[in-house]
Amino acid sequence: MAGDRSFTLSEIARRLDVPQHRLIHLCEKGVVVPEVHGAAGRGSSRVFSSRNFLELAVALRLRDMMLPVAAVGAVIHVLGVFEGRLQTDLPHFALVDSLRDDRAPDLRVIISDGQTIYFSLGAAGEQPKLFGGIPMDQLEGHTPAWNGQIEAVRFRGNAPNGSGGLGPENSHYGRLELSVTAIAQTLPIA
Amino acid sequence: MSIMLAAGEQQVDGAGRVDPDLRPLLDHIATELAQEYIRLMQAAADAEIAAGISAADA
Repeated sequence: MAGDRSFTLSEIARRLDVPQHRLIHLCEKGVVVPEVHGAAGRGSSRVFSSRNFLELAVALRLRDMMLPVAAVGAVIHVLGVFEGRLQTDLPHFALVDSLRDDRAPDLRVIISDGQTIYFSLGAAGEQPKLFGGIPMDQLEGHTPAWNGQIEAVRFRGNAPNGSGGLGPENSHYGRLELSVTAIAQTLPIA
Repeated sequence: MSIMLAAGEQQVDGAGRVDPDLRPLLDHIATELAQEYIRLMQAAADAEIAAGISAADA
């Protein structure tokens, strides 16, 4: 199982084939917090969990898609809490192991019209359910924070045949979609 | 204002950290995702059991 392994920063950089400074940047921005051991001083090195490994891989992909750091941080935060909630019911649950299973649900991040973040979740071959959205301008502190209204996080029905907009979230102009499940399944962690 | 760091101290600017005001929203989404994930995993397990029974009956 990958769930109980740990990795150094240089090892993850090598496995993901990215320069170390990109991973360091994500840590120093607070996007990914090393779960095993943080860098506390000179000579101290960060040690990452398997979930951190997935978080870094997802964060890199989202940054490649030009998503702002604050928005990437929000997505990674949701993934962390998501795993924590599942561990409440299933104490041995490990997100990476679960998503790498052949029958794993498809968990995706959707950026709608460059303004709102959604998550979608569904079994293969079925219509996914939509969760969100998270207004990106609030993440960057441009408007007042969430007012607590549940309306912002209700389920939304999927548009029949895509009518009325793009994707299940009904984007008006454009959308970006990233499969966390696909990233987990191709994560060079074994 | 400048901030002096002690030798070896890491600077974390926190731009990627979540605003505490937004945490309830993000945590709520994570909770709903977890509930749906459990439902989907249970459905997949049930389908596998049903497929196994069908195969045994055939």
